[in-house]
Amino acid sequence: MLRIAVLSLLLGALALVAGLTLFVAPPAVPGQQISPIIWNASNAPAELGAATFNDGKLLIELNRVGVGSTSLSIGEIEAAAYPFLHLALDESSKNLRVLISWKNSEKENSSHTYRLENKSTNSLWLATSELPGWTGNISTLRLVFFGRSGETVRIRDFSIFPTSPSRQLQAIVSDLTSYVPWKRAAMNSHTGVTKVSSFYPAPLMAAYLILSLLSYGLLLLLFRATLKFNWSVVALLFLTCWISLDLVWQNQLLRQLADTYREFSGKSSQEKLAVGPDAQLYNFAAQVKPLLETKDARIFVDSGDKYRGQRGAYFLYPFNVYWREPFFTFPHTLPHPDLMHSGDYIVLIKPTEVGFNLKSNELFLPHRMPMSAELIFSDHTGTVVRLK
Amino acid sequence: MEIILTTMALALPALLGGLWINQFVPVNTPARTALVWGNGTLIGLLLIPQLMRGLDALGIPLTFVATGSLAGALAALGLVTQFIRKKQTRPALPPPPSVAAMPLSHKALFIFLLLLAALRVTTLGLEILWRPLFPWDATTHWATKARVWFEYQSIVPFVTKEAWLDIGGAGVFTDLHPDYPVTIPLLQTWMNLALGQWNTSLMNLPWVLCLVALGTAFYGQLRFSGVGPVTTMAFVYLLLSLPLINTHVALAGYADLFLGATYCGGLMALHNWVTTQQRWQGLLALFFAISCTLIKNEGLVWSLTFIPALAAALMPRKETAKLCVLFALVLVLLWLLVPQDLVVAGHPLNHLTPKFHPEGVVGIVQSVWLHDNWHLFGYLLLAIIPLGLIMPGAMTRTYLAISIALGSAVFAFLFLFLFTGFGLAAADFTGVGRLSIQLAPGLLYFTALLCNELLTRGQPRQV
Repeated sequence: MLRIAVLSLLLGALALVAGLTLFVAPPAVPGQQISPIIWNASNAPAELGAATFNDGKLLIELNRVGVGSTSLSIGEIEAAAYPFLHLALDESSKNLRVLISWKNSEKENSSHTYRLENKSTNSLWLATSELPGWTGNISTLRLVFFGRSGETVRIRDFSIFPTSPSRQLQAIVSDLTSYVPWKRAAMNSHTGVTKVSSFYPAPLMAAYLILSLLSYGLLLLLFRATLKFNWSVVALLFLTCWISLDLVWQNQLLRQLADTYREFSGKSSQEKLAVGPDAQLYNFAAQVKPLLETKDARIFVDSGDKYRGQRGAYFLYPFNVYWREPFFTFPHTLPHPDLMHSGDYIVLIKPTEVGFNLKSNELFLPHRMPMSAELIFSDHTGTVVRLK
Repeated sequence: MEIILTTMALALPALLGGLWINQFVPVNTPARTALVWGNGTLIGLLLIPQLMRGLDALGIPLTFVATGSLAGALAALGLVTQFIRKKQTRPALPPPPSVAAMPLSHKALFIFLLLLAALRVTTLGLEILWRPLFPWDATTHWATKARVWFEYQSIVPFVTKEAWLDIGGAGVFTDLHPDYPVTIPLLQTWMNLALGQWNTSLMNLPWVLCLVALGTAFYGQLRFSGVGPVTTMAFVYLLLSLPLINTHVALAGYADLFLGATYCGGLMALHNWVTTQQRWQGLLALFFAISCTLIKNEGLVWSLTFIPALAAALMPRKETAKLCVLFALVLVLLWLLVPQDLVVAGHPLNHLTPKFHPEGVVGIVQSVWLHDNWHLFGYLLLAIIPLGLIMPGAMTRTYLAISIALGSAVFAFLFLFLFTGFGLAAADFTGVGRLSIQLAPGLLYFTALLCNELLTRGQPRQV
């Protein structure tokens, strides 16, 4: 049973690889011999930031605003002729943002940018056909970095390639081993892909399962004298495909865990919040809370940004917080002034349409009369006032 | 000290539920330990918040000592009752063969799958341990309540924004969903009371405990249903590796996992009660069915799905069919007569007015078959349901009750996303994935039963 299952899986894998490379790989440009455009670190320019060449790598030190960029000399190329891009960076800081930017030569000012979601940039193969705007002729191709001022980015490769079966497979492997840190949308859906992935992993593995089952059927037909159909083989094929798919997910979870460990381990609950994704809002709330006089004080939170307003309000509990979701037609979230009274705190988290005039000590709500108030706290995140 | 207190806060629910259920499960029941501690822990996780509600209603401040003492006393009472009970219920099934009696290849596969499941649970547990509260809804209406109740050591009421403004906020609080059931925030309050401080990481440990309890109960109930150890372990692994369920554990703070576990617990017990008539399984099903309403508003709908299943199990088929027709007529009548602003399961009736939403179809298809939310489970369902339908007697006799319950739940799920305003929540994936979590464990249990039927047809029943 085990031998038949393994054989079926091998045949299924062969069929899948053949299908992926022969039938769904990007087609070659007819009548043209295309050569890859290979990155040469030693003479690559640094358009932003300071560049040095070391050990076959280009080192870019981000400038004082934390930006760096380099480009690949491509002249003018037909986008469809280069369906694969290879990018290799040494490990960089968690907050580094990597952008690939290119310009179409036919249309003036038609530039496109793709922000890499995948944090596995050690050796990343991108299927450029999935990049929105990778069409027509391309005249410039750039790599842009946003990070901390003075941070050094080490680039090992930034090349583009014509179609080939091996690159098609490498791009799929890159997709499957990609790592995207937790996002809020993860609670609703785990797609298993980035915006530029060529295939969804679940249907891909379902295709592998179907091909393995067909292979099993073929083996049954070929060896019908000695082999009999066995549901256990089907179960084994299914389980193997499931485990293969699950290992991709386990890899993602372990990489996320390593990130989480680096960011939060050894810290107290408060310290975690102070460095977490909502650090700015938490630190604002942590400074505001000791300034609020009574435990049962009413706090009205306003922000034009739903996320910042809500998170800011959450960090202010267990005070008696009032926060309402902003709407397009009603962007400020404070109730009618008649419903607020002296002693109430108004927390304005940027961006907000509600203003406070320090000179006149007045709070300005759009389309309302000014309200008399005193400043309690203000920083770059927001302002807290108490109504008089 | 923190480790001791956290362990106590997690162990007490397990002891409370486990020690009570222990006395009802007959000795020699297959996978008895898993049945007792899996179901027991789930029960305990649901009971602790109810004890806190009881104490609060009596005006006793919410403290770890008060709730813990009560839970400990009840657990001890369970232990004492166990010793006093003289007669044990006779086992209905022959003693199960141990895992050690399996062939080497089966044993190897069993251990391999167990290790994979253990790796997953460990990964998720560590993620909870290190990460502070992260997801959106957790901070809009679950942890807000926990934060206030922990601070005030009392279940201070949460009201709508309008009511809050009317009252002037005196003695009441507000958040985005003040009407949601209190069980989950109370569980977070419980953890913080144990720690004596507000800790947004450790308060989420019940999520990983819930996953382990669900996996253990799943193992126990499948073995009780007559599924062999390897097949059972394979399905436990499938359950524990479902990505969207994993995400809800790693990024703990939502109630969907608890509702999914509770509904699944009820379905498993219902099926095993129907097939063996063991009373404790019936009680378990009843407890879990009622508990669904204590976790989320939509839990009411899942609770109601037990009614047609129960009717099918207890009544002749003709009578059941008549009852179903009558029930449908009553629904239509209610639809016509009841005011449209009436709130059902947390939603106004006029929001549920039927109108086909084609965008819902795309959302559901993408969520189940295209995205990696459920690995290959969607494909397994596509294969096993038709096979189940053609297996003589499977859905019409052996698995009738659970088929009807799950069929009703899936019908309600599809109705919600295809024929009501919630179609948008399927199209943008904000609702369909989360609601699927509530059904997936139960559906997987049903799938395991059908797969086992397929694998063992013509073979002597294995336990």
